[in-house]
Amino acid sequence: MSPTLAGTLAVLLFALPLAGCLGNALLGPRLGRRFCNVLGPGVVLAGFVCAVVALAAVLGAHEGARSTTVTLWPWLDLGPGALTVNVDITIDPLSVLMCLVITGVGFLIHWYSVGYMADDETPWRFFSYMNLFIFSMLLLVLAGDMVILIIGWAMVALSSYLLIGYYYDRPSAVTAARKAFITQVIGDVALYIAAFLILVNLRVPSLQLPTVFHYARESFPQGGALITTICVLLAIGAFAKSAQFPLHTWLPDAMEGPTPVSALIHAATMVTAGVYLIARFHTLFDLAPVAQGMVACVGMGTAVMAGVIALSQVDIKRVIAYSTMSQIGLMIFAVGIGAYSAGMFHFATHAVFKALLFMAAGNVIHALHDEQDIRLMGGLGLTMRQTERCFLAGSLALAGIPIWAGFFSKEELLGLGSSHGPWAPTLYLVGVGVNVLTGLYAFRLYFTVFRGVPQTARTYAAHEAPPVMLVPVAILAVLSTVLGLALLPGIPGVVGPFILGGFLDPVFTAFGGQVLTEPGRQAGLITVLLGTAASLIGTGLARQWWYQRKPDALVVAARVPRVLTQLSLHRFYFDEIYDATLVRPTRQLARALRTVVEPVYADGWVEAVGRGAGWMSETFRVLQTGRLRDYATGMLVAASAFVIVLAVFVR
Amino acid sequence: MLSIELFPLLLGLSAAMFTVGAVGVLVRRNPLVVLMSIELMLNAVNLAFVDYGRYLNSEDGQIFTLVVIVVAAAEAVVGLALVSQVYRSGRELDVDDLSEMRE
Amino acid sequence: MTAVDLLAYVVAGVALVSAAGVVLSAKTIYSALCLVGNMVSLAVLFLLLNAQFVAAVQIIIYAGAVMVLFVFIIALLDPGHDPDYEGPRRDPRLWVGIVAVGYITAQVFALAVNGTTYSKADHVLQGQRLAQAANPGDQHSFAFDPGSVNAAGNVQVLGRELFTTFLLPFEITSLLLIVAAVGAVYLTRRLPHAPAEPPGATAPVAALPEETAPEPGRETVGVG
Repeated sequence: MSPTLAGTLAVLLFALPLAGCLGNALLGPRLGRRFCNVLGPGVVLAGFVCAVVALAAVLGAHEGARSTTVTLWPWLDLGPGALTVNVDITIDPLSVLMCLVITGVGFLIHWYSVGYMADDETPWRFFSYMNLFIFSMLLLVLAGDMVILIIGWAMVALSSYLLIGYYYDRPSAVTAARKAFITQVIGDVALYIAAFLILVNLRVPSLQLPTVFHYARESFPQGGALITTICVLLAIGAFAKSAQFPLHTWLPDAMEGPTPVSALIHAATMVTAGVYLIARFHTLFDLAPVAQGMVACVGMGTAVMAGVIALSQVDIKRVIAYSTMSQIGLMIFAVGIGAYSAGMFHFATHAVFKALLFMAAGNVIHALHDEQDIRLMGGLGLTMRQTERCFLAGSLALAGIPIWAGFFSKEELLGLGSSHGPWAPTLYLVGVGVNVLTGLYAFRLYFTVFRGVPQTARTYAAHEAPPVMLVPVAILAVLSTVLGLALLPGIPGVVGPFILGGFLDPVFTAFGGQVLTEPGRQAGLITVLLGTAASLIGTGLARQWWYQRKPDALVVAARVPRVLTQLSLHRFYFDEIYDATLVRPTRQLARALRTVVEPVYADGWVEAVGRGAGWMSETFRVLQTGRLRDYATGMLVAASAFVIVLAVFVR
Repeated sequence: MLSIELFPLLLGLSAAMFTVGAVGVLVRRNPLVVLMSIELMLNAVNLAFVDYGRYLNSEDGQIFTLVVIVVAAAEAVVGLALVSQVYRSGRELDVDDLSEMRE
Repeated sequence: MTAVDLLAYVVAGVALVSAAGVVLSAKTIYSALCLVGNMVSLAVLFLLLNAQFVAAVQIIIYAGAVMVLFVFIIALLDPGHDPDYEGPRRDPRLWVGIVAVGYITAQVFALAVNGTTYSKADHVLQGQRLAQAANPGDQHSFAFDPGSVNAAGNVQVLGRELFTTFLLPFEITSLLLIVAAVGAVYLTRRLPHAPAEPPGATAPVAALPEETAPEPGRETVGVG
């Protein structure tokens, strides 16, 4: 792929959403809703076309030349031997895959938003933020330099903040936005420190990604403390962005944003940036097995924890949010054990079916006039036939039932996990447990919302969503049915070519990395059968427990220990712990400063300045006569004084 | 050719004209006379420029003079437009009456 | 003292007197005429100082255009006497002013003569010597001795300087002129709402027949 083409595509991919953002913000209020409805999704669709062109170009190049890093323009040059930062972009299979998902799923969600936000008063603000997010996300994935990546990393946090707090007159939304932003800043700081450590210790002072990877092996000894620190810091950055333990509490609260936002940012793209980050820095993680082990354990732990919490939540969006957290935990686990391609595969399928679930949930919420409590739903399959079908496809994909997309990606990564990394069999068995949990919460949601007995009169008045909100959902439903089969035609780990893996693997072997080998036909068959059985068991149990049940049975699934249900119900008490250990002490410190320190040391001085200004104005106001001649006299006197001073003192 | 003794004389003339103009600005209340006094001050500056330029063997003073003439013309145009507007609004032509800047 | 010097003394005296006339005249139109006199005498001084082009511009623009504008406005507004001007003797500030004029002029003259800025010994200005000592290669200033300027032509030399070295200030000056023209047009436009007549004023309808009726004994020239 020629550098010119790569540069052009990258500039287009940046410029289109940015133009959409500015156009919506500046012209939207004047040109009105229809303009925003065209411009907002339009630029993302154009971006998708660019991404497809990039894919074609990458596929057209021969295997060794698929990765291109281009310097768009030099940015910061501190001279030879010091840091040089250029606006570099990297187009390789990994970034192209990310771009395709971001713009493709992003376009469908923008399209859906046209219907979902039809009653909103400021569509220009909404689409402006959404386009800004697409721009930031593309900046993040196309970055060929760590500084650019960090800029994109921070900008997605910003647009996430703006969109969670979109309904800024709702205090809970504002609080949630702040919480998300602060949590992500913790990750940002970790990422900055990692970047500084790399810069200081790398043999050449550069943060350009290919350069970093090229010199990584000779700069950092395998398994050394330094590279482990760097990778742990990178992982903390990834955890904050991807809502992994212990920085996960912001994601459920982020559901305060409009539902398309939840679908785009908090399910499909931004929260998976952590997975992308670890996959992108695979060369460094390969050097630090301890950090890899930690990442894998945290990922799997979060997957279990979020799965358990999802079982007891009653807000439809929060259930999906916890399921997102759980699925991202699986992806993090995959990239932690080094199964990068499998992790990215699950990212792609998850983006599709999770966006689908969110948007179908959005249809339900819309139809019930902003009702999100699943205890008040039920029986919606009667009135919302199409939405129910789509939701079912999404749930099947999520639960990992064969032939739906989730089955292929999940079995691929669990299969690889069964034979690699420390404590592989243990983690694998936990993963099987996650499969059961996934089936449980996926179909708990489906059964309680769409089947069973309607709980309120509103259910009967519910109407099917308009086509603009149904067609994107339907497209995603088709995709989540066929995408897995298209990218891995066969049985994961047993037969059939892993097409996506073949496409992505050269990225991960470019700097001397190794690709995990599949566990072999027999072991693969066992893992697939085990995983599928777990999924089916989970689904079956869900039907057993929640099909046509009363709302009070939603919370407590009778046959589990009370401790577990309490933990699940209270989300493992994380909010309470953070509140007691971090939030409240900080607030008390602030209050102490306010009552003790500030009145004396700040207010005293500030008020003195204010009083002084008031006194001076009172004194000098006699000079303001309003008469031209007095002013001219003043001017002349001052000029004369100036000249005299000059003549006397400056010789 | 003027002899060099005239240099301080013309400089003195310039200073005198400038001060006379300044006195006019401060003393007179008719805005037209005030404007004319300002023109007088600008002319004094012009004289100093040309005088210095002549005795420094430099053309820069004359360039400056041209610019000052243009500025003076612009100032006269705007000033007179203001005066005529004040007059048309039915007020007396007295700079002391134009004291809206106080409030 | 040459004849040229004598002429300069005379013209300088005229300039000073006419400058005083601008400020001291009770009638505005006399002020304007004094200003014209002042400008013309300055133009003569410019000629004597080898600034032919500036002298011409001084006559054409200042004494011509600007002063015509002044006289035109005076004729248009006809303020007549400055109602509150009590004459030079009655205004104490004027006496302060005259003292200031005398003092400042004497100071400047003394400074110039005493060589703070001008050294009589070698007939070179202090500033000139300092500048050339500091920067011997500087050919930009001080390079136009009157002989060579006269040989090349004052207008030509000035023009070349104006369109090369001082091109940017020149262009900015033209911008200033446009701004002034636009400002003047804006300021003198007819206001959409004329100030309301105070209540009790004579109704214009009633006044109309009297004004339009031709006065007896007055020759009327009109279309009708």
